[in-house]
Amino acid sequence: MTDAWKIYAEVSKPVAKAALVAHEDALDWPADWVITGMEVADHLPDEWTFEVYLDHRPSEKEMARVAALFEDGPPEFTVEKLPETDWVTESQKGVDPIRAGRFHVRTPDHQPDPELVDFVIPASQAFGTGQHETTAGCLAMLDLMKREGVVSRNHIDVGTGTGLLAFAAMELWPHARATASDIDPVCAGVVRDNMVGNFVPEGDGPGELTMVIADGMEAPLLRLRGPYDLFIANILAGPLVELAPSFAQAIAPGGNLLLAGLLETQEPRVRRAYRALGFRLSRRLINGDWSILWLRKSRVR
Amino acid sequence: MAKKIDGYIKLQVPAGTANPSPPIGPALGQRGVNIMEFCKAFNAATDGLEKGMPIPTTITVYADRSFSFTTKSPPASFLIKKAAKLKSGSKEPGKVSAGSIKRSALTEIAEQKMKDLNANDIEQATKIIEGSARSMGLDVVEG
Repeated sequence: MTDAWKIYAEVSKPVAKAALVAHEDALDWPADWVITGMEVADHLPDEWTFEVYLDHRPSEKEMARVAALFEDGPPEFTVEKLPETDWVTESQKGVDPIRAGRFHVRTPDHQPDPELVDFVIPASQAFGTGQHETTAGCLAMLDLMKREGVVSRNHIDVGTGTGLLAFAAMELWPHARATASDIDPVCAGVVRDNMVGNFVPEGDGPGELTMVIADGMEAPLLRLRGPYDLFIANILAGPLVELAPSFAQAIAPGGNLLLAGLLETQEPRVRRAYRALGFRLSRRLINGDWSILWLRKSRVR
Repeated sequence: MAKKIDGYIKLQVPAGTANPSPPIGPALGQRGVNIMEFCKAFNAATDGLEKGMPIPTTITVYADRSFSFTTKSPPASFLIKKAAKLKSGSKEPGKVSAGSIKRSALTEIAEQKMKDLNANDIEQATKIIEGSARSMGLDVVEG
């Protein structure tokens, strides 16, 4: 794990803000330093901390650069090496459960909702805890697909992260073959842990999930398991466009495609790419700044 | 009612490739910002930009742990070095020249950074960028 160091000082709010502004004019400021100005506590709104985060012990020269941000002289700085901590997991702890469609997604700190389909997704280094608007939007769209009569016998979730969307599809279509994949190797362990936690069976038969680490559709196993009648991809607009031909090839005629991870402003570009490959928009959902698209592949091509 | 602001986090993040490694992870994590949520939102917002280009970003952290962020154009020093094909500026600006840059290249940079500069027109913006180039030890040449 890379080291993390912090230089910090307690200053007044105006001093902290002035230093943050001075930073904007500082030439050649190291690109990998992070600076923060934050309130010390709710009841002390004028007392702030000014902090600089970096990945090594700061040298004297580097301390001088930080000091130069304070026009009226630098405050007293403290330098501290941060303990090794999984900050990703820490930052997701204690988040409230989300409800989307028939689904309830929570961390183990919260109680299940007996009225809804419950998934336990602990904080982890993988995307897709359900907290993000795209993941929640996908859950709602999958729920809508089911209500609209979509039947799936073979589905895939590309860019699965925690595995949540694959689990949701398995809940909706329990006899389908299920595949999940991600480019990030960390997801293999996370998905397997979450499968155990949510009683999702692993395997390659109906009602079972196969997890693959792959870049897009590059793994032969992913192509072998196709064509898919439901294809889920909650990634980013750029890769969605770039991978459109390989995604399209893997989807059966008449199959359903759920796309997310694109901002509403990026929607026309993504839709154009898939329209050219024979997909038509079935439904769209806007959640915050994000578009969630349900497309259908033409039966004849 | 506007949400209460707890503070600000300022960082430069490579376009399209935000990840939770230090120092981004610890800085955001210590402040209760959902790191993965930020990475996803930032990568989406910078999806169309040159991958890896440093993007100055300010995250506003609210009392309820939610956040919003704004991005600016890449730092002038980055664009100047890129245009002049330099790895770094002069160690002794004013004494030792690091190289040269054409005025037309500075105008292009000024156009790119116009919205972030405190300038009324492109001439004024070019002068600001020219000042940055000189303070990096670059000679400005016509062309």
